[in-house]
Amino acid sequence: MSKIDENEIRRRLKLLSQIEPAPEAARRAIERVRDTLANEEKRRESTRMWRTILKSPITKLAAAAVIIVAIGLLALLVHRRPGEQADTTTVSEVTKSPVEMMTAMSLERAFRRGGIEAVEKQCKQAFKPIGPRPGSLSVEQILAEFNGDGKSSERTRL
Amino acid sequence: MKTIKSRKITTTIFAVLVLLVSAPSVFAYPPDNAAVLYYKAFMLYEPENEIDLWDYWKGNIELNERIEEHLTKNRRVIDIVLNATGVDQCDWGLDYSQGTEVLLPPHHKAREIFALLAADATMQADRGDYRKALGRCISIYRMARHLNERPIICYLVGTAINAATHKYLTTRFLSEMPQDTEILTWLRDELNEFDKQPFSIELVLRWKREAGIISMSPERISDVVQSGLDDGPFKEKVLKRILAADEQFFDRNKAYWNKYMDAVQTAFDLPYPQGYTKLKKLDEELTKEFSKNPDATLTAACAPPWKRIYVQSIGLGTRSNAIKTAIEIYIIKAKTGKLPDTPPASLPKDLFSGEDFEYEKTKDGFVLRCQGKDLNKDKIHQYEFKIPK
Repeated sequence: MSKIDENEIRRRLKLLSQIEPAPEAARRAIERVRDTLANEEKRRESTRMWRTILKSPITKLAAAAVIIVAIGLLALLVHRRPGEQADTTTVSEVTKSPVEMMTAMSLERAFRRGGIEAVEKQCKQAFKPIGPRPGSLSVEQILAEFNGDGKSSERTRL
Repeated sequence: MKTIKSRKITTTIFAVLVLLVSAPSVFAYPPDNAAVLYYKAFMLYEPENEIDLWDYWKGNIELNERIEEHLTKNRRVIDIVLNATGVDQCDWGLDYSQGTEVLLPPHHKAREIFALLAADATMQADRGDYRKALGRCISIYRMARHLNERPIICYLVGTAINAATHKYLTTRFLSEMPQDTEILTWLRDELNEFDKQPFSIELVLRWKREAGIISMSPERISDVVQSGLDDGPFKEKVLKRILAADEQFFDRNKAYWNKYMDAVQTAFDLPYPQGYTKLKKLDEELTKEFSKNPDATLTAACAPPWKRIYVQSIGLGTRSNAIKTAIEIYIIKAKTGKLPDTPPASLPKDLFSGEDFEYEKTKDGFVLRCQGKDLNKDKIHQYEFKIPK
């Protein structure tokens, strides 16, 4: 944990801002500084751990084996054409817009991955932003929507 | 004065005539484009998760109150789709100028609607109305044909719908219903009607070539690769080559694509064993070519799994032919009271071998067996048809 004490942090903050911070703001700032310093400590610990691992001959061998296996897998992947792509969803569909997900090419990719079920799944995913539909909708809610004064959390997509 | 009066009368008569002529088209229903009705049904239909229509029409569960209620509740949606299937023209409004980046209709909704119709067909059969049940099958086949647009995915969705209808509905209804010459002849004629405008891969093959050419341009190719390939070393390699490309790169890649598509189209026209072997070889060659020949880059990136699509199209065609053959055999049974010892001549063939189906009578019906092997699954397909006792 940090060796810098609270008074020292407070003093430096004051120096930086040239103002006396409010107690609450100062507390939050101190917390943030402490978090940052704690992370720095963790990073240092992690480096120390790696040094220990690399000193031991057994761990060295294990690390070499892991690297060889990883290279082997990479070589297999490099030789794969699109038609032979693994059954994996490496590209997150969530990050794509519905329009991108509904193109012929994008759906062909889904088909290659998982057949017609994957196409169906991708279409459903693309149209998800449209729903869910409201179970019921009162006239007041509709009027609020039109007037633009409906609370954002209560807004219902029409 | 007289001239002015007569002009006014002529104008009035003309206006009335225009109104009379245009009125029927203004209020005409159904519209002359089936897609309008499909889109409407897609919007209106909301499947309920807890009701498993798929299990019902696949014969895994019996008809129950909830399924009946669901079908009643969605009767208007069913009617809209039935009306759509009766319309000849179907234009989904796809912008083909976008090449392979064309936006497709919501196919998951088409599959949901199919499940609704399939459940309705099964319910009609459970109630003993086989004419209506088979009528629903015909409507589903029409819907699949409407879905048979130029992009491969449209074709594949239609194929899946047709295959499921053949397997779980038409075959089952034929096996359960009492042989009725009138219904069987009607069904045969309806299926023969499809031959005039068959469900086919032809359109897909032609368009895929054009779409590939449109997409292989410096402005579009990046988007095509981004949306069409999974992240990984293959995609990275393709993008790297595109980044380093000059104009000749695109010309040479288009030429390679055209040559490749020529070979693919030839393979699809060959008899099954040769077609399958050729497509398999093309696929292997393309993989090898990609690593050493930059001209093969965009073909490798855009080529769909043709071999898989080919096998599906042969499988579907063979099952369709088996159903047509079975109907002829059922008609003989309906007319003579017994199954024939040999099937009538000049019936549709098994597409795996190009030969007639092998016909075998069994204790509860008959079997139509392919004479050629499905090389993809290393298996001989056979189709069982039963005779109700």
